[in-house]
Amino acid sequence: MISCKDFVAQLGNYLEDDLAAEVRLALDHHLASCTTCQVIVDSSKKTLTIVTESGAFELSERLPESVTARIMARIREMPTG
Amino acid sequence: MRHFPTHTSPTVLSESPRAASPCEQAVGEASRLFSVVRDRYGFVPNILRAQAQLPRLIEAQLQISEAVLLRDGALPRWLKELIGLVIAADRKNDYSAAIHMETLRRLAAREPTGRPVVPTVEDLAPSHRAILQLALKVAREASSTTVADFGALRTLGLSDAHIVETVVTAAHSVFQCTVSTGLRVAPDFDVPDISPLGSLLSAEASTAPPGPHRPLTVATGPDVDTLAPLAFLRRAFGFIPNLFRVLMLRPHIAEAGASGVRLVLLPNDVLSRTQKENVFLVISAKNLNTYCVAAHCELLRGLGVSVERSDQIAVAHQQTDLPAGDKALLDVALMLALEPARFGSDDLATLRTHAFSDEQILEAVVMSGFAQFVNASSMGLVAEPDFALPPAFAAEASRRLNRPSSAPFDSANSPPPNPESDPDWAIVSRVQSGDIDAFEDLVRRHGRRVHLTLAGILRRDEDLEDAVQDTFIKAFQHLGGFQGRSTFLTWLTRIAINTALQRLRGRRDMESLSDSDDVGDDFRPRQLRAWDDNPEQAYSKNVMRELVWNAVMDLPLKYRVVVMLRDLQQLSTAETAAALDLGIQGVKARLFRGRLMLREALAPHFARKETTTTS
Repeated sequence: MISCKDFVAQLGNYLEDDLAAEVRLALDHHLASCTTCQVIVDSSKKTLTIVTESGAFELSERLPESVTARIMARIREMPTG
Repeated sequence: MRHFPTHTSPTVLSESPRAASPCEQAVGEASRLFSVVRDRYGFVPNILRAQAQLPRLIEAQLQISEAVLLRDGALPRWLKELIGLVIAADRKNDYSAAIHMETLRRLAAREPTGRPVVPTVEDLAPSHRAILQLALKVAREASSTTVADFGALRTLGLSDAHIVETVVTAAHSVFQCTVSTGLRVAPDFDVPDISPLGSLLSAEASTAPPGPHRPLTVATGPDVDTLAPLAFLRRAFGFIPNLFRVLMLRPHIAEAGASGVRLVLLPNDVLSRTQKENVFLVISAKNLNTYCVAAHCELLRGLGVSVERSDQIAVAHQQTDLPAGDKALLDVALMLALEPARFGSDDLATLRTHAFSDEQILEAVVMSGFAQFVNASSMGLVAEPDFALPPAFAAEASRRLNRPSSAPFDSANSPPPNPESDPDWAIVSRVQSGDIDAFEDLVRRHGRRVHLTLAGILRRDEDLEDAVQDTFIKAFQHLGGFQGRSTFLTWLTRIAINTALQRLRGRRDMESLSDSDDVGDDFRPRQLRAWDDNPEQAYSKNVMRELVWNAVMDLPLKYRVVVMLRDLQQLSTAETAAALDLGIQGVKARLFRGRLMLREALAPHFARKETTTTS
């Protein structure tokens, strides 16, 4: 019998669909009858969407020109060879 | 959950809470072996102490290292130790580097010859230089060895016995490096500075004119099969492998190799023989070792496994119906044997979750090392295959051999090191060939990402610009050594992470990236209310961005870094593992835990207001 604790322990692999068929089947069986785990699965999927689509890691902005200039100045000062 | 300390205790596979010393655990046979070792070497190397639970493995390695390194033969002892040191340095293996350096020091103290303890290329005679080059080639990419390599050595007056000793000494070093990495053994002596070895590692290919291109002399004749090691192999395998016929050029080495077969491969008491044959098979296939794949498919056939099935396992074990535990075993063995730099304690912990015991994990590590020893020996000696190749592997091998850009030593989990596929490669090459200004393009392209990576670790804004500068300066200084084994971005991210961690160490509230606390399965979700249907529409873009950034920044460092690289920067799992020097499984465990913690943190903002039933 799969408990909620077992389910949560496998949740990551479950969501990535990285499980042996028989384990997945057992987890699906538990999920069908467990509202708590249904909530956890649903909110975990939503968390992932929110995090990956939030733009919290916005790459379109640039490093300030002054920083780039300082780096290049230090590099050009370095002894060659 | 149990932990594998990194380079701290020699008895990493022991789990006794009272921390018994290795000698206490080494009962009976093991302690007898240890006293033999102590008499002979003056100390018991940690690599052997770590194997006290399975004395037969210790015995196998003792016999092999004695036959290869200690017995007088064609190569002088110091040269064999130098080969060990150079290969250890090439593989960045501290354990092996320390033990070979100490041995070289002791040899020099015992017989002062005027030769430096560690010679430079210029100090070496041309024949010794050529021997070192062949040894490095065997350790780096044995599959590229051909009989033409032997020709060069013959011109310099070296015999087939010299060639056999050179190849087997290199193979022994690979064996030792693999086992010490797998058991995470603490060095017995101070780790030497390997930078003076640079000239030995990058020695130019031999300029000697090519000599006779013929294979090594193979032992044949009616009486040969009755010689002890060969007769043993015929009984055990049903045939005498050609590799051992070649090894008969140095009979004590053939005998030690046969002992390895008897003590490591054949026993069925810890891992099953079939499990070990499969480890051998997948490592050989990944090495593109046609000799060993053919031989071990035949050995598996003798164990009742069809050639079709072995062929399938050789080509793609993940796609077979092997039990999940066996697949994990093969994954870990492959990682250890072929990508030791990426091997981590997490990979061993994975085996525990599949219910492998300490003894089984120990045997898996030594089996992987022994498979590498036989692989390097058979490819380095260019042994003639005993059997035809199975069809799927034959097709796979010819496909990979015809595509030179796809290196054979590459993991299924990571893209081949094909620098041309890296969007930064063209600029990197320009900088490498002296165009300093081109570096500015790299700073512009990745500056923001580096900035955010550093911010994610350091959290505070102070010093951030300094850290960005440091990262790029370090990248510039080391760019000459960047060979495109990962993408430039992964490599740069790794430098950024190290820069940030160095700065963290200077702070009082230092967080740990190491494995010292748990990634166990005891995490209990507390937020159990159902969420809104479209939570991403609940707030404005700016508020959303801030919510997520703050939630990620509140995670403990070890989870924060993985979530940041994987989910925010969207690096692949393999790239994240490479940037953090963790195993794939370790990255996944931290990622999943980090996401669960994020769910907890975000739930108050996105859960429906009414409560639902919670059980």
